[in-house]
Amino acid sequence: MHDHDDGSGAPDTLAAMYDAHAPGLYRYALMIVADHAAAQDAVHQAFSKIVGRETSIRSVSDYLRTAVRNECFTLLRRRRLDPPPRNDRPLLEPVAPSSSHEERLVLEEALRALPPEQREVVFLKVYEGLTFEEIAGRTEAPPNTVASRYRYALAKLREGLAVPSRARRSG
Amino acid sequence: MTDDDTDDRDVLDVLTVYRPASPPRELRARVLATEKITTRPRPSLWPIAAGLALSALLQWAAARVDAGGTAARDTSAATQLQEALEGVPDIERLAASYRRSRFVPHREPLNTVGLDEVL
Repeated sequence: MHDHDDGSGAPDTLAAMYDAHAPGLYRYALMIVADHAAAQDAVHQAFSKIVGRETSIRSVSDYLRTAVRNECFTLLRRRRLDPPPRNDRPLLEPVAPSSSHEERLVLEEALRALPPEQREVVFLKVYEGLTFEEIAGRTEAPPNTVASRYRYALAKLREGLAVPSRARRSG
Repeated sequence: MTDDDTDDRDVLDVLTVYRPASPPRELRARVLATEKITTRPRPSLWPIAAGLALSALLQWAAARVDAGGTAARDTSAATQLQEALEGVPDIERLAASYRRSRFVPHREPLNTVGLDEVL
């Protein structure tokens, strides 16, 4: 699920840019903020900043990704004073037939319990396939910090997923 | 620090059955509406500039007309004063000159304020 480009030959209309970049950007935002409304706001803001400036931006893809990330963490700072409602739409959608509704709910709960920085690393490593070095470059965090966040995140997810797995086996 | 995921396969096997949800359709319309708002042509400033210029021109023209009227009135008053002073003895002319120097200049109607006193 890599939808990177180097910005060369980038589509020049907003609709084309949206179609090319928005799905990946939205998933990225959703994993950071764990809230659909905030993810929509972040993506919308990022595209608003690029309107009329497409030709002066060297890499539209990099620009949008950075803008979305900045918007997400800005929204999260504001949200500390005003937490979002929990009856949000699902964070995840199945991509394999082995999925189950119960498992998805448990995984979502475990993901929501992670700090945003850890969710971000999980997304970039698992769904974008980046290395720790590449993630460090994008998040401006040391590679060892990135690796630690990933390890902590997986340990917590493993812990969260263990209970229903045992329950399913025993049931 | 290693990118090896061998020890994490159990969790990764679950994670990769899913992916973060796709954006809702309404987001596309919302983003594209931004383009229309942002690229809407700005109202031209020419009508405002033209209005201001015309206003200034009219004020200037009115001031010129006023100044012209005042100048004409002053010229007329001076002529009347000069005619009135002809034939008056020197001492009285000096007194009139002295008084005239104390008149309020220009916009005061000299022919009504000053001439009675002189004559």
